[in-house]
Amino acid sequence: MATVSKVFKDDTTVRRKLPTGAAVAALLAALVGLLTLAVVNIYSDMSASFSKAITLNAGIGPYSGKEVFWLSAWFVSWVVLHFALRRKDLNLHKWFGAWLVGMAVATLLMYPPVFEFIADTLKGG
Amino acid sequence: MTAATAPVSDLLGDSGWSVISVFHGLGATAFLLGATIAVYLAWRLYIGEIKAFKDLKWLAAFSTLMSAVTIAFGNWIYIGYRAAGGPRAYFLANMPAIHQVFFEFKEFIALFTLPMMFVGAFLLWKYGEEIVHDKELRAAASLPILLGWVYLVLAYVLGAAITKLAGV
Repeated sequence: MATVSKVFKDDTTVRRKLPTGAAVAALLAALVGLLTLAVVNIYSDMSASFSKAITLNAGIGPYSGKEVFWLSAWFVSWVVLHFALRRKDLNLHKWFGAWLVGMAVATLLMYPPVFEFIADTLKGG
Repeated sequence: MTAATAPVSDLLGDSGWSVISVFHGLGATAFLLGATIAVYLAWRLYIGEIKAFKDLKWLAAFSTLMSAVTIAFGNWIYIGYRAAGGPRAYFLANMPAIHQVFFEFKEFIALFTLPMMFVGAFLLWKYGEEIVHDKELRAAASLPILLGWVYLVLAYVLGAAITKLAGV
C-alpha cells in the first residue's frame, strides 16, 4: 500500500494553495441539515398537528419525517453551497470556528431537557 | 460443546426483532471499530504526521457506509421499540427518564455520525494527499471524524445500556 511517508509539518516546499470553498460548503451543509433537524424536532414537540403531518411511517412515527427534513436540508444545501463556493478560497479558519460553534448549538438543541424547555417556552407553557 | 450445539435463538433471543437487532448491533460495532482506527489516523493527519493516508481515506469511507447501514437498521428496530408492549411502553411506565432523556438523545445523536463521517471522507477524497500540506484543511477533514466518533460512542453506550434494561 502506498503511503505518505514524510513528516509534513516540516515540509517547506512551496505548493499551490488549495481552494477551500468546497470544504466550507461541505461543512456548512452538514450543519444546515442538523440545525434543520433540531428546529423540526422542536416544532414537532410544540405542535401535535405538525408531528402528525410528518409521520410518514406509522412504525417509527414523526421520526420518519424528521429524517426526511434532515436529509433533504443537508443534501439540497450541499448542492447549492458547493456550486456557489467551490472555486472560492475562503477563510477556513474563521468558517471552521463558526462551524464548531454551530455544531455545539446543534448538539445542545438535541438534548431533550433543552429542546423540551424551548418548545414549552415557545408554546407559552 | 454446549455453545456449539445450542439453538441460535439462545444467542440471539427469541423475539421477532432478534435478527434486525443483531444487524443493528453488529453494524454499530463494526462502525465503532473502523471509526476508532480512523480517529487515530485523523489525529495523525491533524498534527501533520500521517503515514497511512490511503488507509484513512478508506476507513473514513467505511465509517460513512457503516453509519448509514447502522442508522437504517436502527430505524427498522425502532418499530419494535415503539410497538405496543415494547421497550418504550415499559420505560414510560417504569422509568420514564430512560426514554424521555437518554433514548431520545441517543436516537438523534446517532444521526450526527453520518454527516460527520461523510464530510471527513468527502474532504479526504476530494483533496487527496495534497491536503496534508494544508494545516487548515487538515483540521477541516480530521475534526469532523473525531466529532463523529464522539457522537458514535455516546449513541453506542446509551444504546447498549438501554438494551440491557429492556430489549426488543
